[in-house]
Amino acid sequence: MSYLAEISRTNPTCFIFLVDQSKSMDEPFGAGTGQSRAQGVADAINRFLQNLAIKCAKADGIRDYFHIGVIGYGNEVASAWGGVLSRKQLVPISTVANNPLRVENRTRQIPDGKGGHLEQKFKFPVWIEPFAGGKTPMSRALEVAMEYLELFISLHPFSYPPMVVNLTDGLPSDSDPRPHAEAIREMTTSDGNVLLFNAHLSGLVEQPVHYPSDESGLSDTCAKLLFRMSSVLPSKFVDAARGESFNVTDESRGFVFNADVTSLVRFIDLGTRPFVPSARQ
Amino acid sequence: MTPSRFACTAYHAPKRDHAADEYEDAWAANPELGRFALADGATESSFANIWAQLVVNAYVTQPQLAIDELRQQWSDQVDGLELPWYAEEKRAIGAYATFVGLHIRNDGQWKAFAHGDSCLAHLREGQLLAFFPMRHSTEFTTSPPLISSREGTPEWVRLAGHAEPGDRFCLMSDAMAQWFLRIHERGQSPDMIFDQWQQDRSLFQPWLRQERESGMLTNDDTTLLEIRFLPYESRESR
Repeated sequence: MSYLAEISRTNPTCFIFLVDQSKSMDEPFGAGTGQSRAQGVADAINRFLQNLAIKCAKADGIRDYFHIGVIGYGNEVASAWGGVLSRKQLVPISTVANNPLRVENRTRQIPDGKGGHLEQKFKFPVWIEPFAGGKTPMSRALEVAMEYLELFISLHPFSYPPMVVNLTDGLPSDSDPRPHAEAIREMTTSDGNVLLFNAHLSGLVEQPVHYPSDESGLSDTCAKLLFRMSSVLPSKFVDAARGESFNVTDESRGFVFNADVTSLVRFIDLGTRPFVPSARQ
Repeated sequence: MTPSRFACTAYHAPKRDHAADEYEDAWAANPELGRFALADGATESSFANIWAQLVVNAYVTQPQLAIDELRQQWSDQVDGLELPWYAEEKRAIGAYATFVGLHIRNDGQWKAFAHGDSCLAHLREGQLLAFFPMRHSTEFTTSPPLISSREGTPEWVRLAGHAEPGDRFCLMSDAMAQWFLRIHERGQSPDMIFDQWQQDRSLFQPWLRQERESGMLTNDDTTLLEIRFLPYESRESR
């Protein structure tokens, strides 16, 4: 049986984000927000990290259940951390949480219990800034991710399998990424294979797609490629996704199209949890 | 003053590799009033230990649980604290806990109520007479109903019965309750193990290690509040 290892401070797992920073990321995101894709990706990662940090937060600080890496690919393939984390590879979540580039004060609408809404202030940390320049060396980014993974797995061979999240708007410019994706998915800890998830931020104005079981509903060539590269969701993720009313099956893959990947944070089991929607923008 | 008809013993331990101050179950006993309670603070919430302790303390000392008053007390303790952004966000979400409470009168009539997967067992000479609110070891999940320190109205599950002198009640947080059911489903009785602990309390820790290693006991905060309903002439206190 796989994907059953307990995630703990003594047996942490890791997330590696691959961030497309190619020139095309300057173009508009199809979700109708008026944002560039680069802004959409930066927001997606910042929101993911925010939710992950909150998940690990206790009254006395952050518990290091996760180590986090962010690899940007565009002009170069390199660590995309900034500020004091600059050039670092895998960083414990407590170090991430305590070292954002800045913390913005934002507001969100919450139900007031009387049919209306209230404005609630909240803090939104920013680690990754939007950037767009160069080509799309996705295959090279997957190779670098493998180097991170080899190191992590050598240090934590019994961990819950590491997870790689690739956020991109298009086709790679360097080579067919599928063999690299397959090589990543074949890496293992004693608890199972590394999981590769993909989020496609497209310029197409189409309905968001979450965790499809097949590619028949995907019209875009790149979306189909990314779907094929993605891991099948572990059964506990499927159960958690069903609990949140996602339309998933046992064949669902870790792929989203023009949609938020933050729900993955909620699928991870750290213990008894209240049902609380992701921190919103 | 009438002597208490209850002998009560708590066995508890934090999750493996966790410090004692990271334990987030809470229990309280008031043998004089025959009121006992256990709550399990949710792992993925913060200040849950404070919330769990407030709820059990209120149950054993007051006839009714005034949840809104407890929410105010929780807020008074935590909302003024200066915290980093992530702890502030987590506090805004609130603390969460499951709960089970038992009230036994001196004539043996008892009633209990629960919310979530903290459980009660009623045993007589090794026989399980009642177990609630969970019914099978496979029913436990990471998303049980929870009492929030911020909002909502708990939907209590209730049970009542009659105790005879010598009966044993167990209030358990989820890991212990699931273990209990697993043993029971094998046709065995946990009663004998509890008897051993009663003779020698130091047996609890080796049992805990062994059962966690074997996978029979989920690695989680583990609590058993064991209550024995005594004959009038018997008085014990541990």
